[in-house]
Amino acid sequence: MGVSDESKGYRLFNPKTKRIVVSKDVIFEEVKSWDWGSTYKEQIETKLVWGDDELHSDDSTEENIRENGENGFAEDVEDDSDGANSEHNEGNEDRNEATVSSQEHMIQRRERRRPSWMGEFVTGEGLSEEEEVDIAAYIVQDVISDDPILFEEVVKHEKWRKAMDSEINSIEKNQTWELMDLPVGNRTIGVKWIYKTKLNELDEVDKYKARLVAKGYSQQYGIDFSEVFAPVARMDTVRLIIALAACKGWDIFQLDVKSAFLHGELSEDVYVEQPKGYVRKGKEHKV
Amino acid sequence: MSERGRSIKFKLHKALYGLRQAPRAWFSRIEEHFTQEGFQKCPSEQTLFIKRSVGEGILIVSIYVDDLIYTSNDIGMMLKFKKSMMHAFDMTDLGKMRFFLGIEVLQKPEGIFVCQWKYTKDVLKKFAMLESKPVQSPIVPSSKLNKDVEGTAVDDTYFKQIVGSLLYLTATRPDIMLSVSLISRYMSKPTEMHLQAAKRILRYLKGTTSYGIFYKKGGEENLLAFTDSDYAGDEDDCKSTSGYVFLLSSGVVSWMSKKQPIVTLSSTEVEFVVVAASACQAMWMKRVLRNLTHTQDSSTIIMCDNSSTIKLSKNPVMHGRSKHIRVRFHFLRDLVQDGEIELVHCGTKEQVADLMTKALKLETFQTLRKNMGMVDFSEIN
Repeated sequence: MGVSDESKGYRLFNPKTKRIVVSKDVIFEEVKSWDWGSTYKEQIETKLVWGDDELHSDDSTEENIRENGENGFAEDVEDDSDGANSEHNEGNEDRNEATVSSQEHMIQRRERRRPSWMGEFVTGEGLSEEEEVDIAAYIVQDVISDDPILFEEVVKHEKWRKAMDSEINSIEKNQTWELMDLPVGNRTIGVKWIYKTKLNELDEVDKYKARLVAKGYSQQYGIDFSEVFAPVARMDTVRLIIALAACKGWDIFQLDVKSAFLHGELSEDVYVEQPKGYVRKGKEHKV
Repeated sequence: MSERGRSIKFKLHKALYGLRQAPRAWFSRIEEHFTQEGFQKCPSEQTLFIKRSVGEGILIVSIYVDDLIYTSNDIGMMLKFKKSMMHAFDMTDLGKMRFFLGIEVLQKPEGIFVCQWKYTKDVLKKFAMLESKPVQSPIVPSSKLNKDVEGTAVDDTYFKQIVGSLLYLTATRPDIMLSVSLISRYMSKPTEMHLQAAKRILRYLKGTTSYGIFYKKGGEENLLAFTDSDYAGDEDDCKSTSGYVFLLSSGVVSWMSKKQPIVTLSSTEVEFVVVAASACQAMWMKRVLRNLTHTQDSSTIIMCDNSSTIKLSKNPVMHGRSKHIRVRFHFLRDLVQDGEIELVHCGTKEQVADLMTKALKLETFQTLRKNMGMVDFSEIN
């Protein structure tokens, strides 16, 4: 039903619940049509009957947007928006057009064509999951930076292995973790490596940095974390300090904490997987 | 390999990057360290720590996640602090503050200059405006924007990227605050008209890339506030725009330009809304300053160009006004009675807050910009 005013999502109409929902997770059914003629009850009984490509002879309207879930089909629009920008430009105009036309032709039947910009994408149909991941990885890598993503790719290079060693060293030195059997009823959080090439002011390679990060997105409030807070100063405060120092003729100095977050002590019980490339085999069999 | 057989995992004693509670755990750690070292946390600003010595010595530390800045009137205290920090954590000593949160800082004997020269260059490059023709003001004088329903739609992602970059630039560029806040109102359905307005701001930046704020040594120690509003300035819903500017040490330290949340019925009402908002900010800044220095207990002067608002704040007559205005009225009157703030009338020519609410004529724009302490980098060298 068009693009939401408040968020990035699409506005969708769910005829079963008769509610409008906003979601980014949209699948466009380009070739199917919605049977508006059938009653609410029928739809439940028949579990959503889809017409075929031929248009219905009765005066039902075609509609082709449906919420994700039952028939994994067509393409995932969210993935596309992560991709290249230029394609997106066209996409937007197209979508606006579509919004207008959907309002005009709500009552009459309407034919949906496949938007021209979609021609540049390979749809998810017929692809295996792995291939999809490859495409997604390719797009992300292409747009954001040249830094590697996969451990298997990185481990071949001496420079990245050194970076990972150094990260593991600082974690161990810091006594961040200890190996143990996972107590029954506890969950673990995955970890992954993030690789980044740091440049200096002259855009030359400064160092290769590997950071081990926990997949915090899988954490649940109340189970493995309670409160969150980020110590960020307000810009007003920073300027206030600068103005005051200027007024009094004081000098301002700056310090930077290396790996700051590794210093924080946890009050909750958190278990993580062993990181790729640094699985302790000896202890594994001992316990 | 580890997934096979028994589940041998790592139990964390300390945080890892990516954990939800990592920033909080880090902050608790450093907060504990500061408490041990005899610092007081500023009650109005969690990230500000102050330590006083027996004499007049004072050490001020501000934390921004893993970056921290500190200043003091006592070199001995600073050296001791640095040593203890280096001992407790793995630190990089960056020396004098030069580059903090993307803001360039230049400390000179005459004062301190802050700007975002590099970031401005990057923004111009990103939006292919490096070769554009510079203009002298960010908005066409007395021009108005509206929803422009008939206009040709433009790519909203691109438009939002421009607005986002410009918003970050307002950290040292109060002169573009109004124009950026105006175009940001049309992010959902931008048209050619809005994109043109955005490009004009970029062209203005092209001509003023090395502008920044200069805080003079020995400048005014007391806060001075200006407030102004643009009555029913929005063409689409007749809401007004509030603006305020706070000056300290002859430079601007805090500013705002914002569409008011409510529709108001008169220019006095609209002024109540903006003065109340400025008074809140004034109270917060006073509290922080009181922590930073011992002084600052005189009432903060708020310059305002609506004389009936000033009169009403002194002489409590309020006729049958609706509740949302009454609440603000009482709030202000109490602050004035307690001597926390004082409302003073000021002429339109000195009204710096006009920069936050109106598309001014070039000459006025330049004068007021100077009054905020904004100068070109070359002027201080």
